[in-house]
Amino acid sequence: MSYFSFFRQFLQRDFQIAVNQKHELGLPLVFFALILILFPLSVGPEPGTLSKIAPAVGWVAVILSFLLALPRMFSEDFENGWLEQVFLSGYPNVLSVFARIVSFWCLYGIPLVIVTWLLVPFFQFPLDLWWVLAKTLICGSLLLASLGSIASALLLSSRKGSSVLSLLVLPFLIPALIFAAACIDAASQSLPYNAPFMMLSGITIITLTLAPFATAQALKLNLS
Amino acid sequence: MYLTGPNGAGKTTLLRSVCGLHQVQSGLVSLNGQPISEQLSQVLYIGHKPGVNEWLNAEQNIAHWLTLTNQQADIQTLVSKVGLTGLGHVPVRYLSAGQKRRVALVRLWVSKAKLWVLDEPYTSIDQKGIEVLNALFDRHKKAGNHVLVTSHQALPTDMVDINFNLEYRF
Amino acid sequence: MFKFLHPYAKPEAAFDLSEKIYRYTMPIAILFFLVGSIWGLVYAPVDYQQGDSFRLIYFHVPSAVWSMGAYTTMGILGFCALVWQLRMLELAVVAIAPIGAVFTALALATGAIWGKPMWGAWWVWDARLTSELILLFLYLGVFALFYSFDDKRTGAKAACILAVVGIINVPIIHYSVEWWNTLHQGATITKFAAPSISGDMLWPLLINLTAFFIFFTALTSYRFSTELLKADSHRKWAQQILLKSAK
Repeated sequence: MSYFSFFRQFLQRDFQIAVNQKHELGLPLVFFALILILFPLSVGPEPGTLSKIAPAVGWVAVILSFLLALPRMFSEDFENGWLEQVFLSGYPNVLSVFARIVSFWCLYGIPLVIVTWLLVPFFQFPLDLWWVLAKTLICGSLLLASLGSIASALLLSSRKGSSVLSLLVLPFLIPALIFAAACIDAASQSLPYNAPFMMLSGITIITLTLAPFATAQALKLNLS
Repeated sequence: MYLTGPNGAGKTTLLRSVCGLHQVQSGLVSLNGQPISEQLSQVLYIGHKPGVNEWLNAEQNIAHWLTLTNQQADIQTLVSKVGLTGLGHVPVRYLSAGQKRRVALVRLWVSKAKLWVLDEPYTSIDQKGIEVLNALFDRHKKAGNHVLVTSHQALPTDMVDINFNLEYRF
Repeated sequence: MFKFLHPYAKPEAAFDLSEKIYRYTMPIAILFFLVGSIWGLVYAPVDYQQGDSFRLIYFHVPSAVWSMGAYTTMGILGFCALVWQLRMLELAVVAIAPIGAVFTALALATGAIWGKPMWGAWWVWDARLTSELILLFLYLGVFALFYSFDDKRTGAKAACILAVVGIINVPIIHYSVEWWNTLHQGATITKFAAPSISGDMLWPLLINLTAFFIFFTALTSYRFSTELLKADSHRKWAQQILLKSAK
């Protein structure tokens, strides 16, 4: 079997499982909407303030909602023994990890990015700026998925899994957050935002290529 | 080869080391003179964890395992062979413990691996199923292959070539 | 190439060596620290702009420098531990993490105390302070990861992986924070760079820098030997040492 069809089979399996677990997919989205509601209630409903903090709220809420889903990235396959079978299949582990990152991004990242559209009516956030925000978040959620795969794999056999997870992921996200904020900042003054966006995509691509190796190592460690 | 020993003696650890799932502190596991890590396709491992996803049905689980190990077989016949006829489309989480186990044991009918490493294969399998399994092991052995089994159940003595007893030691 | 290190793969030998290092370096560190601090706090001339508050530099700069040095050391050791599967190095990574965290916390605390008279605020979102704060969380991550495993060996290896991931990311984080800081320039301009520092101010600083480095070495060896004893407490050599020290 070629590596590509191997990769495709993994994606297909993840989607099949996701179809049977729709409630799990919805939970982070509901959580995201809930965080959004907290802000007008605590900051006050003035449109000026709300539209100013909207991109920050969007990013932070996406990160938090994503963290909610992250512990599940490998846990199920670890507990039911599928990971052992994958390990014994002789195919490179990096490939299966890469497939999982991509499927996780499609299943949790993209829906969250779409849901950030709620900022437009709720926070009076201009639609053209939302496009920029969505672009940074598409990159950002892919980065989050690849960084999260390392953390999630590292904590697989530990007991305190999810409580430590955020400590492992958040510090590494800071560069992405900085560049994304700079993109939206520039766009809101109708300036070109290519430079920070390139930086953000660059970081994402580098992380996406390197993270599977660390994750595969971590999985191997937790299997033994 | 039949591996016995009290709880905690290290049977599972030994089996996992044989497959390379467990890193051994020193030493090398080899099969036919070659390190086993270079010929993982010659090993079939079924551990305590069945490698079966609860949210998928039996047919999907079998299909994924087949593609993972690069093998082809008719899934319908396999399902009926392990006595799950009519249950192929039911998500595995609705099946009983023994039936779940059978979904994992389907691999024994397909696998061309030279070495079968089975950790407690008889768990929650009924008497008739055990007989079927034993017949399978016999056939596999006659074909010049090897079966490495741990169990707390006594195996019929004529089947066991080597009985290896692990002792608990600290 | 590393043949001379080979005997120290044995835990007893590594324990002996780290004990010895600790015993010899700790007094030297204390001596240096006393000399540097007394010189810096009492005899060094007063800064004409900052007055006496500049004297915090003698603690702030060494702890900040070695907080980063410790992280680099940890990352490199973690990498070697993973590549060559060396258990002793895994333990060394685990030994360093809390020490580095303490250095980082010290740098943050002295920075804040210094910031109060300088900037009029305990905390300013200055690039250096922010990077240092992130570094603290990176350290916390490493040992939180270690302590979240029941099996210490797995925990130590996981900590090594994280340390390596961290060391790759630290430059990215550092430069992005610096870039962010120039973007939001305005409120404060740091006068940290200290391009020219007079000799009699510099000497105590150099002595304290050395003192902190020796401290770091001593504390790491101490923590390493305890971690090693803890990890091998069921082994014969460790039990003999424990029995000896109980008498």
